[in-house]
Amino acid sequence: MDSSLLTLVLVIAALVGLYSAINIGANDVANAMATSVASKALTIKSAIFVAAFCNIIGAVLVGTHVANTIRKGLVDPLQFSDRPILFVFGMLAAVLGSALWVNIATYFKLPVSTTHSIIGGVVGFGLVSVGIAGIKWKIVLYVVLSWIISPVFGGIIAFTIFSIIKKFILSSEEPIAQTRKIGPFFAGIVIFILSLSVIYKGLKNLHLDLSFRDALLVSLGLGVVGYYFGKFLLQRYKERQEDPYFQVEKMANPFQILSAGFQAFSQGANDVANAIGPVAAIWAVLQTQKVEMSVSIPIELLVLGGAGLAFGVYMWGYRVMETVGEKITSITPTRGFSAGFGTATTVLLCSRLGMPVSTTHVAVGNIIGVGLARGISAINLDVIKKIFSAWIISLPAAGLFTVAFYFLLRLIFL
Amino acid sequence: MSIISKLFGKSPFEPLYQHMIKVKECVDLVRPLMDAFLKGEDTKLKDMAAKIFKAEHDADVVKKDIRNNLPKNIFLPVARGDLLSFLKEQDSIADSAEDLAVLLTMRKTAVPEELKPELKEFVEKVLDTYEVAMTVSSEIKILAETSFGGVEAQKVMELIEQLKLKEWEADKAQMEAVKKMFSIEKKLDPVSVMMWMHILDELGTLANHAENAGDRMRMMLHDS
Repeated sequence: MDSSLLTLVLVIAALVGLYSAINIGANDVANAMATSVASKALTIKSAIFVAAFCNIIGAVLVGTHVANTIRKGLVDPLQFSDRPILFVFGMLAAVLGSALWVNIATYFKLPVSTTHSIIGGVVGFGLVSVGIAGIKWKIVLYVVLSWIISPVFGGIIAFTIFSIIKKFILSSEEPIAQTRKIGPFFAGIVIFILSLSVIYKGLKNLHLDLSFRDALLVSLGLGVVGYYFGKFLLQRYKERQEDPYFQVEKMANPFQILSAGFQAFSQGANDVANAIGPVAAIWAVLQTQKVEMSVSIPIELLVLGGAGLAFGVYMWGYRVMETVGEKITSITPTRGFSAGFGTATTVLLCSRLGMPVSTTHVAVGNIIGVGLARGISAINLDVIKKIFSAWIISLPAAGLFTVAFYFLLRLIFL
Repeated sequence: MSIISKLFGKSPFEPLYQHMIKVKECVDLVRPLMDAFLKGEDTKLKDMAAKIFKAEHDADVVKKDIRNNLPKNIFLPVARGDLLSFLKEQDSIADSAEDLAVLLTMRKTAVPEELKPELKEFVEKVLDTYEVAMTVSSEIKILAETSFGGVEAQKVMELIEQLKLKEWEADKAQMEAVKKMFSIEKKLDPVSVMMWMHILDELGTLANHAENAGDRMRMMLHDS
């Protein structure tokens, strides 16, 4: 195989992937941080910093699972053993096709998901190259199911968390004292989930492979540290002669920042794959000159993708956070924490299971979950319809663009 | 294009609070209005009536704005129907104040000396009821903050019980005033009797709407 052609393809794919990463960072990630900005838990400047930082870490530490699904989970690369170049073109076409579709959709103000587009692209090229039988339909089915389940699952978590806050804090005689009592548990749980996701089979890149029992113990230990840190923060708060509920929201500020960081971390873990999954596939072929299943994704690619996300947040996140933040002032830190926690946990779980989900859709599900617990003063349910229609169009549209690019590439180079 | 920002509708609770403020501006004028009426100060009476008309109109504007911003596909922490009927009752309090002002200014009705004590008492009871209703309404923002449950909801529930008691007292005072009015019917001309019936009735209606507003608020709290 011509390796200069392969290198060219890799560079193009990496550039387009980087472009996608920047897009995702600017829009989706900034979106996730907007709740914290809206509730004034974070200034835009610090929100950008938290998002960019947590994004990269999430991408690097937990990003491989989803990237592998896109790389080899949907279309079996082994079917291209005799002509790996077709696989390489297909992956490049998927990157180009989905990026083009997302741009067109954004122009027409359709709320499409980058995740749905890239999956539509990969499946589209699989269909025309190796046919219906060449696609791992079971995985595709799981992925599509995860798109439906993840917002609902997240919504249930957010509903539960907010109901707990409501029952034990907002409904109590002593909301401030109760916040001091209950708050630290939330901090502990967040740290525990985060650590477990990273430590258990997640630190391959750092060559630190712990058994489940050890990982659980270490995470529990870190969770306890988180508990005491939360306790420390809440003890430091000085009570004032003000409306106690207003003070509870103030006290919840650091927790919302924690959940926002958690969310950015999970988002990095899930979304980095949209940008670098196909690039990783091409890279693997270039490395071995043939299609291989077992090649692991190089950490440099994850860093590149994570940096793209962070760069996107840094460059254009300001505008998005400002406009979104202004519109959603009704979300206060207790609500923001509940929704952020549910979103982050769900996305992280999906990332660990290798399920590429739309983080924005999960966030929508979580906000509705808080709404069902009577936490949000007005939710516009029209959005759900819009999301559904955008999702139905995304798969075939991104698929068709990909197929067009695929044939174009074949026409030019073969 | 951000789907997250599209998800959030306009909260009706701050505007509901603003509506309460407007209603209060209107109904707070009932006391000086009745004072002027009792003392027979015509210019002051007309002045107060004009102010009531203006304030009632302001409340109407806010009411329409709230209704227009609550399409069916907006999901609220309370039932949409309960919220709208609460708004309607709260607005009706101001409507009653306006109707009362109309009754008092459209015809010069003299207040017989014998009726004054009962009338004063009745007005006080009605305004007591109204004031409790306003305290209930003013809790709406805190209720939204605590998601309509817990200690705050309990507090409002107690206020609503108190409101019922006040309205009952206003009813009793109305009976007394009506009885007194008929006891001196020989001294009054028929048109005045008719006017008195209307005036006393309108004051009673004001208290009724205040009680109903509390009832609607209770419905919002109930399904928590």
